[in-house]
Amino acid sequence: MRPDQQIERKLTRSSWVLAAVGVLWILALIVGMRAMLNYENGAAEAGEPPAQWPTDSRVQRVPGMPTIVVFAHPKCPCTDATIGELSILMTRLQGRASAAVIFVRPANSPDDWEKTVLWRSAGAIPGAKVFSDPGGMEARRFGAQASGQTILYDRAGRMRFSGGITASRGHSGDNAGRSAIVSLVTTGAATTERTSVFGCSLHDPTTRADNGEASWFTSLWTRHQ
Amino acid sequence: MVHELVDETPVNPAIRDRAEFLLKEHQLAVYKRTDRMFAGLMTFQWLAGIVTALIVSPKTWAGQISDVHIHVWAAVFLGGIVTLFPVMLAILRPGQAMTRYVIAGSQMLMSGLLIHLSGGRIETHFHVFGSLAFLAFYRDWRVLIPATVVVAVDHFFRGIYWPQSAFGVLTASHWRWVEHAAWVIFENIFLVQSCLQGVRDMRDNALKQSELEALRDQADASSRAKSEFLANMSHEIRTPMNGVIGMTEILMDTELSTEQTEYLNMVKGSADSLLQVINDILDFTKIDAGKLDLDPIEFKLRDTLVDSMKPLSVRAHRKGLELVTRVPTDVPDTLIGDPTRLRQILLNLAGNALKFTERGEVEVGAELEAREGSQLTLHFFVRDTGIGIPLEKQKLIFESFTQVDGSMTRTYGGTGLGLTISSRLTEMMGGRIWVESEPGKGSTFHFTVRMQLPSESHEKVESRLRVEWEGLPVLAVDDNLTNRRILQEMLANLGMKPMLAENADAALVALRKAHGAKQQLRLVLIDAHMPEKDGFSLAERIISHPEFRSVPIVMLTSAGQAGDARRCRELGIAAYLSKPVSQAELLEAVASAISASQKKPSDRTLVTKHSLRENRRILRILLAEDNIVNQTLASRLLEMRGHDVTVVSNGRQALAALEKQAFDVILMDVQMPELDGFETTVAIRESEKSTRKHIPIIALTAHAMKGDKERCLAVGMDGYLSKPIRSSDLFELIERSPGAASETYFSSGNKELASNPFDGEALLARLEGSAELCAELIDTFLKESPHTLSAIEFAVARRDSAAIARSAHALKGAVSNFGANHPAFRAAAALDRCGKSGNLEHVEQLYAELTARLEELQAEMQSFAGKRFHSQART
Repeated sequence: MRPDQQIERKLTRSSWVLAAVGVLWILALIVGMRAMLNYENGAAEAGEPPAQWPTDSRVQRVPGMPTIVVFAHPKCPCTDATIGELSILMTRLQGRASAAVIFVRPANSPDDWEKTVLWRSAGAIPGAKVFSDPGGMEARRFGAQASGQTILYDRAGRMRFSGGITASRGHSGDNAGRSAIVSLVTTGAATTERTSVFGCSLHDPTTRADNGEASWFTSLWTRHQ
Repeated sequence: MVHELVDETPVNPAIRDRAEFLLKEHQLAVYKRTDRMFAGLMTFQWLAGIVTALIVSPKTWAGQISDVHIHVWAAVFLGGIVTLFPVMLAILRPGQAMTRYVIAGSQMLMSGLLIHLSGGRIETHFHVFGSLAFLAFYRDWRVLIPATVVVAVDHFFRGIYWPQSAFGVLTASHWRWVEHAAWVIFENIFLVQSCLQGVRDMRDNALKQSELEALRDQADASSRAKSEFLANMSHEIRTPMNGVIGMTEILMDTELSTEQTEYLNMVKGSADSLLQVINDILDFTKIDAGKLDLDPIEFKLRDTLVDSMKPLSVRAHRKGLELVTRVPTDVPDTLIGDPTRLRQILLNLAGNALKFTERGEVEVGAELEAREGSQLTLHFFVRDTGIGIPLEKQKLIFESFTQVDGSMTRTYGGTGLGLTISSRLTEMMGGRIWVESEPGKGSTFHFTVRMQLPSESHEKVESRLRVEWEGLPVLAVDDNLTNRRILQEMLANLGMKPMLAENADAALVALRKAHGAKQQLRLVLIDAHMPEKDGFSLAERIISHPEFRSVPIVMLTSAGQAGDARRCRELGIAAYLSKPVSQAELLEAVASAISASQKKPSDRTLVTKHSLRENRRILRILLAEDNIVNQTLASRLLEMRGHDVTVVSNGRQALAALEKQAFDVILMDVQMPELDGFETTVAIRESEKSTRKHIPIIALTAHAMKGDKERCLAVGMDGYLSKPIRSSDLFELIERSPGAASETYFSSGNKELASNPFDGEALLARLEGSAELCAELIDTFLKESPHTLSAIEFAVARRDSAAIARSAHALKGAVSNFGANHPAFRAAAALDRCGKSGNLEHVEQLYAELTARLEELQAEMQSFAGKRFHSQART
């Protein structure tokens, strides 16, 4: 075989190898991206809030004004987006609603465990008050399971919206939940009153009655609607 | 014809093709450079993504229980997958289209990943637009396609499977799609335009570069043509001139009448003058064409100054003029510069000074004008007491072809180029030239040059002698004030305490006074030619006094006369030197004279320049030369000089000889069988690395082309001598500081002088006048050349081009000793070239030509030998 033919053969062989590597690369990208997107768009366990404001709640709503209640895990990274969306929401509503952000502090956790950056960010939102929920009692009263659970109660204390106000885990930007709350407060009606919640679980796994929360690993391969 | 680039304008096709090639080259360089940039950027982004994930979302929680967030793993693994394949391509296949397309797609994927890792921040979306702009660095609009496709595919599938993640709502209006797409398309439009404009600019630049290259090639061709013209003219003019001069000299050796001798003297004089004029014109043309290069080497300033004046000393003496040189002690002696060009300027100026001076003296001197570290500016001057130059002419004389007075050419001769050449040479050496003159009183030509001190000072003061001579009283007697000053400086520089006297009577008074003060003078230097009482008379008077008899006397003369040496011996004078005398010669003579004075009178010998030369050390020389004629020539010349020569025939034998004994210097033929001169030199230098020694190696080469010197230097040689070898050049090279490793020295030998067709007298002169050696050389050639010719004939019959080249080259080398431009040499050279090229189409004709020319040469040599030596040389 002539040297130039040998070189050509080597080049052809190496091109095939590179092509094969390229195909594997694309497949790996698809798998990786799908897994990440599946996780990010996999909703947490939905909460079941009471239809009426719980009377035994320590959190007082403002009479004659809709109240937005947001439950947050103080260390959940996805909840930063929720707090951001709440801020946008309160800006849009311009004082027509009040907000209560309740940070769940697990039992046996140290004092001020819940006083994180999220606590401070929430506290800076005009029209919003922050509350600490030692042991998650309020969370249970309102039926909240996951961080980011947002509930809208109208002037009369009736539950009008339950769900999340982010499009996916930790993802800021336009979302159905925010749009629904704005519509409900301003017009009294909305196209949807339920959305998915994207956030960490508020409760330790052993204390939850329903341990149906899938691990993030499993959630990579399933889509939550 | 080349035009400004407008696509419709016709451009020379060759230039356009070259421009296209250059454009492709530039583009490839841009692609490779941008690939490397993106490889670095993507790696940085991968690391930045990991840091972002660790900061923004390090853990996921369930109550108090935490785990590593998926974003961290995504940053590490998914980020690695996105990064590594394009980086691998950038390293393995830089500049290829697939590489940059993969990079473009990967960069968009990285944007998506970073958006996710940062929690969908609006600011992170800017990474998409920034990446598109970076991709424009490729100046290939096509890379935007995979980038845009990746964004479109991502949004499409996201819209199907995760619609909220794309627009935040489950169903997005068509306007949202348009809005998203429009922003990307908006930027792409500008980027595509930018890429296209970039390529247009590159094409313009490539075309301009191609045009410049074409112009440069034209200029190079023109320059080469000029060089060839100069070389040819030099050869074509000098060859017949040397023929005229040589034949005239031969004719002058025959029996002639007085009238015929007178006519021939006129012919020779005219021919010498014409040759000088031709040399001037050729030098001027070379300088004008920028073809003259300086050759900076290490040299001794005082020796060079003195050597420069030697050719003029006889002329000076004939006119009754004093020719003196003076260099103060603060001027360093060992310098790096071009001594050949310096000599040329000094000869020109001093020659002019002698020409235009009828009485008095010509003084040539040097002073240190400025010094900055190892950089020196030296100020030379040539002062005469001649006719002077009017003020209005002083600037004009440096212009070409201008003389002070056109009628000068009839009275004094000359082309008017000498000063112009000196002026240009001075400028080349970083200096300037000017004149101060007063008509009727004389002129002083000044010029400055820049030189360097060598890195290691070779300023050896003979410390042992200085200690012995420190403060030694000596007397210098010369009627010329300038000469007295020069002797005073030289003797003071040697550590002695000189006293001066301007005539014989004053000298005797000084001697008596010193004797009275019990200050015995240790040496007397006397100028032989003084008015009233000459030097020999004074010497007689000194020797006749018992109290002064033991003082050694050194006689200095402007021009030796027959019988001077005998007179010196009879008077018991210790040394006899002809002016101009260099510091080194004076030192040697004084040392010899003082040491001789301590011997018995019967054991003393007269010290002269010749005896000083003879007392130089004997060198052990290894001569590596395959040609018998050249072996004989070189070895006999060196043995006549007193050196010990070992002869070998090739590089291998040279290496073997070096293992057996040590040598002081090697003469190496560059073209030898088995191992040639270059390969042997490389082997020697390699072996010297462990011993840290350095043996000087001088190349002997029949080539005299530009580049040969550089090739010799590159392999580690210290000098070269081109054939035919002149004895003076050979001795000078061999004996000049043979042990100094830091010196490099080259001699062009007879590179520029063409020999006339077999000039036996010139050959004899090159062999130091040794008739025996000349006869032996001719005899050896006449015996060997027929064998070499037979070898060529045999090789021609077999059509063996390598053998033809080998034998023709050997014959060429042998013939070169007898006439480098003899037709036989040219015929051998032509056959040598034919063999080397492998094209044997005309080899029979070339061989026939060589045979004919060689027969002519052999006949000429036999005729010369028969007439000159009555030799028995036979073929």
